[in-house]
Amino acid sequence: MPVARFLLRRLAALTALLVALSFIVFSLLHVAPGNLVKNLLGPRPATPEAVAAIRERYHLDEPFLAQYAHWLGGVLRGDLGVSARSGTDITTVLGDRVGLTLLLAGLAALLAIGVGVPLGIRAAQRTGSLTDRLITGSAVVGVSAPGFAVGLLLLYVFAVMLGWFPIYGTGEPGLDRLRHLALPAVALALGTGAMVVKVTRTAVARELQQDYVTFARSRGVPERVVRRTYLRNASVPVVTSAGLVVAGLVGGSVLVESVFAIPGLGVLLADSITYKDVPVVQAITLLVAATIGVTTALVDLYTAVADPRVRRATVGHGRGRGAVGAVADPTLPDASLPTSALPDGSLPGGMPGPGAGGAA
Amino acid sequence: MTTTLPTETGLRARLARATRRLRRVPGTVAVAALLLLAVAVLVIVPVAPHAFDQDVLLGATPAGTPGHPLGTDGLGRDVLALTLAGARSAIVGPVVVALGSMLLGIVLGTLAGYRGGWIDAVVSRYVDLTLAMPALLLAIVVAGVVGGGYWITVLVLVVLFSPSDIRIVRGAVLQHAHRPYIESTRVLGLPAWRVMWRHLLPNVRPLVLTTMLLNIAYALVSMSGLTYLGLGVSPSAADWGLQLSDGRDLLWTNPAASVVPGLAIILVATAVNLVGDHLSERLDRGEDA
Amino acid sequence: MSTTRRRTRGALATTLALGLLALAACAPSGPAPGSTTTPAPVTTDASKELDQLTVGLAASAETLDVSTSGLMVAYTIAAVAQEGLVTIDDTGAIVPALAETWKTDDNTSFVYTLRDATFSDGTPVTTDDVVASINHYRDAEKAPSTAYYWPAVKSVEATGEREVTITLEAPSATFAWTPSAAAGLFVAPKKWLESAGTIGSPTDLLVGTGPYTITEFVPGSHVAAERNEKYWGSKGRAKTLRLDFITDDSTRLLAFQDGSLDIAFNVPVDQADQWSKVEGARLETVDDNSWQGLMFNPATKPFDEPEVRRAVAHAIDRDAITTGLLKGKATPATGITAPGQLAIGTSAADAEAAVAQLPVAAFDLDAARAELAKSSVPSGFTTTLAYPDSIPALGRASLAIAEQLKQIGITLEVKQIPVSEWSNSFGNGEGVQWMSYTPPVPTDWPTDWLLGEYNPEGFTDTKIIGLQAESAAATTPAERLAKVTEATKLALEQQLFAPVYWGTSTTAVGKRVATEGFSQYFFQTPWPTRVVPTA
Repeated sequence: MPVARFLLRRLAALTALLVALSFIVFSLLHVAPGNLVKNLLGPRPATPEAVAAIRERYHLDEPFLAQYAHWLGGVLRGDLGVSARSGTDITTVLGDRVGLTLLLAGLAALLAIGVGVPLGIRAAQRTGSLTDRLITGSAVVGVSAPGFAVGLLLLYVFAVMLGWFPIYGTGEPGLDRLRHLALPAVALALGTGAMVVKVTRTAVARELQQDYVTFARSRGVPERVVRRTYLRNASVPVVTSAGLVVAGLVGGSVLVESVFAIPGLGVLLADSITYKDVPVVQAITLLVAATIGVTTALVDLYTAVADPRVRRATVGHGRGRGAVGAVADPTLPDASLPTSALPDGSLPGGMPGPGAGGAA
Repeated sequence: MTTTLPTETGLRARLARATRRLRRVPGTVAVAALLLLAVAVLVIVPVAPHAFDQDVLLGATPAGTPGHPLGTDGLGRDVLALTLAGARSAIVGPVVVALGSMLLGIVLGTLAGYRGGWIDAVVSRYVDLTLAMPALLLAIVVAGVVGGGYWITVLVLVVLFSPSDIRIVRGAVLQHAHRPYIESTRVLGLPAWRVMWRHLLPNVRPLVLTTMLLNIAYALVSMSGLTYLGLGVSPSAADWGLQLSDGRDLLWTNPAASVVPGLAIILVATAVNLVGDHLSERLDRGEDA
Repeated sequence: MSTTRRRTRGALATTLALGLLALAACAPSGPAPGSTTTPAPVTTDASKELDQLTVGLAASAETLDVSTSGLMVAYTIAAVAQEGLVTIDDTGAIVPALAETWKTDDNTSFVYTLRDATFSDGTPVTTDDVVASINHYRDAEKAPSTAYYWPAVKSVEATGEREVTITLEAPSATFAWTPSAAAGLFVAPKKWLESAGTIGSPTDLLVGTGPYTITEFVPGSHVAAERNEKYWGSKGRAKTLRLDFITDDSTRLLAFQDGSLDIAFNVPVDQADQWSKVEGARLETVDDNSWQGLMFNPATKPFDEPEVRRAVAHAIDRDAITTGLLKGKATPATGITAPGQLAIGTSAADAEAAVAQLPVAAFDLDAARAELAKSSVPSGFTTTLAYPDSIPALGRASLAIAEQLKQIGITLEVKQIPVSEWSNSFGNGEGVQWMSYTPPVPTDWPTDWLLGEYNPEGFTDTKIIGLQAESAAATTPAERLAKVTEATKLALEQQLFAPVYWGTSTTAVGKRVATEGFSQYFFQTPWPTRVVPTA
């Protein structure tokens, strides 16, 4: 069961990652300027007693490592702690926001990938054409346009002028909520989708230049089959970039959240960082890290599935004993490496020589 | 796929070749290239420092105010002069960010993808870690501990941008490392660095270039986002990102104060990408663009 | 065939994308719906009811518990659902709330007689509840933000069936304001105070006697409330109340233009024109008693020299800042505590006379140069000035000041920092710092802190601190005013501060409603009852 072993290994790695990340974030919060006591007391004079009471309650007088151990101990017992800012426990603080953020990020990812990939393919199929320039150009406009302006523009056109969508808020769960999240999702997708478009375009264009495509076409292989083949071969970078988009969407939507007045994790994270609300920052960071870890694992898994040869290198072998490492010794050509396999297995194709497609 | 004709020599022939090449440049790309040229001039030639002196009593005025074709910002500074002068800090940093993070991406991504094993595991977890790290927290800590400054900001952005570059490069390398032509170089006994440098890299180059070009756009926008944390340029400096965030309050008094630098960012980012893509394609086709 | 179709689709997509760009360029300057109207007197309808009153707040709340957050937005929300023994009117004077009457003979012992009222959970208000509430909200650990307003208390006890007596350790001229929902008391059932997990969280919504009952709180999003039919006073005219947190100024403007909001907080100075153009909109601009100014740290070189402090003070062009940068929506500050606050318990004339006594460092670059020449750094020096990201106006004021200082040889490097970092930076050795203090309560004077023992800039002048302590212990408002004026005078003579401006805040009121007696204290009173439908 190589896949199961792979997943298990990744799960272990993810756990280690979460622990390391929590420690780093904890340390960074510790050295970050600002002072929880003053944040709690507000900009007014405080008596030493009031300060002492707060320091006591949040264990601020204990050594740094003890504070971290205190937090970690709680987490291991299933207690994520209490938000200093609101005095409520983390599960209540995160509560609805997690679902809301995941919904928003999901919608935005769907848009960015669902629209970005076809556009990228289209641009690649006509590299250098006006269509290509327009697609690439508008994708770049999407990322370089200031986030607040994009948000306001969408609001102005679709909410104020056309009245199709509400101006702000989240609405009631269900269809109403989707209607409320539509514009924010578009704004988010516009800001992140360019990477999908451009990477898709480049990856597909690259495959289209390969000899196997030319050969397949000249041999009269149906275009449908050719297309499936080159798209499959181009899919690895596309999926990688899509994974990066998803990674950036969770917790990375501060601007959009504030323009559309959506209580998501982005604004909460930003506010909690400046407030030095450790348990909240930790919880959100770990949530984001877990999402990223799972996405990364899925992307790697896909990479392996899409290309049988990669599978052996990333999934099939244990840590440190990868196939690539094995071939580093040139006197022992690894029999497990199918040097003759073709990209798709079914197609006749050229074997590009060393440095193919290079500047040489 | 080479299209260069072999027999022409001399100045005339070279001229003829150059003209042919220019003719193949599409209109959009040509316009973009001209725009970049103009911006490059702005980056190199400083605008008169007093052109945007502040006039607090005047405050924000709309476009068309006498003496201020694009109006003034909240401090009464001329938007046009400020935008022209802002080109330098707006462009130099992002280009360095894109180059720096891509350098990290190429080195770590290629190593991870080609070597695999523990190197891959370590690099990949570093990537996950950096991706998950709240950028705001990192920026605040750097600003608080090291202090602000333009180049510190550039450095922070390099660190923040590198993980996605590493992942993209790694993914592409992983895909190519197991293709027959790379396998065969191993069988030939070429040293690993040579395989990576001479054979793998050229194949992932299109992806590297395209990501880097896009990163310039991302960095153009991100630089301004860090100013409010005390990183980045000083609030009195001429900088597009700064104009944008300041101008946000003036959206209704003088929209030009934020729209003009915003458009400048969009135009430069788009132009860089169009021209870059074009050059990359020609490189790929084996033309010395 | 399929290629053609695909091409069309591609072109359509790109057109859309470019169209967005074109719109991006023109949308902000596009015409706002509605025509220009000036604030016209409105007629109200005495019989009309509203289904819902929607208010757009400019800040966001994570908790409704004022006693732990101390935020203005929390006060605004709590005023809807909870009350103190007394409340303030539109002039800041004390008027009855849960206490029908109250009296004090010596400013030490305060006797309150409760009215018959019912909490939103249906239980009647008893003296036990009041005593428990007082003890809760003056507890420095449970309620740090409200405890600040409570002086040392000797005893709090029920002295009759409907009577509660608070006895202080020492007389206080300002205590009368403390047991109000504008400062330090929110009367709640004793049982609820003891059993609630986290007061003011979505699961433990506020319980009180206010005109509305909170039914829902989504942190970062909104608060919903319904009319309290058992409220003892005149009832609100809207059946339900919705307070939305919309932190983005432009989004709030769009929502207001759209008619989604009846009342919107915090109209930015630079957007005022756009807001007033909304049909039927009225902008209420009031002095908010906030003080903005520079503080000098007398322990940091070169600000240990009074000449240097005076040089900087003379280089501040207050008039340019208030009329130019702030479009006249501010008053040049010639003191610290705003005259509006100084007049509490005395009179506007007394307050003005007090401020007139204070020394003013007028804008005069020659005087600034002369002062600097007398110092140990006659040719100038370089220093930094940080301002909080939450107050962009201070950034612009900083740059304006930097420009003037440049002319006398002082280089001021302006820096923007997050607001939490700024509020933590007081007294950490910076030579010059911004202070911006918006007092929530009329009796909360900036000087209490800025001139007091725990002053943020860390000066130790015993004379000033002593005078401030005397003012805090004053038994009459006139005495408090006199002492504070004297302390402020000393501080300004030494130029420990350079006042810049007293601020204002602007609220937008939509065409459906009108506000009765709007003042800077409006939202600290049971304000929803003072919002009435227009005819």
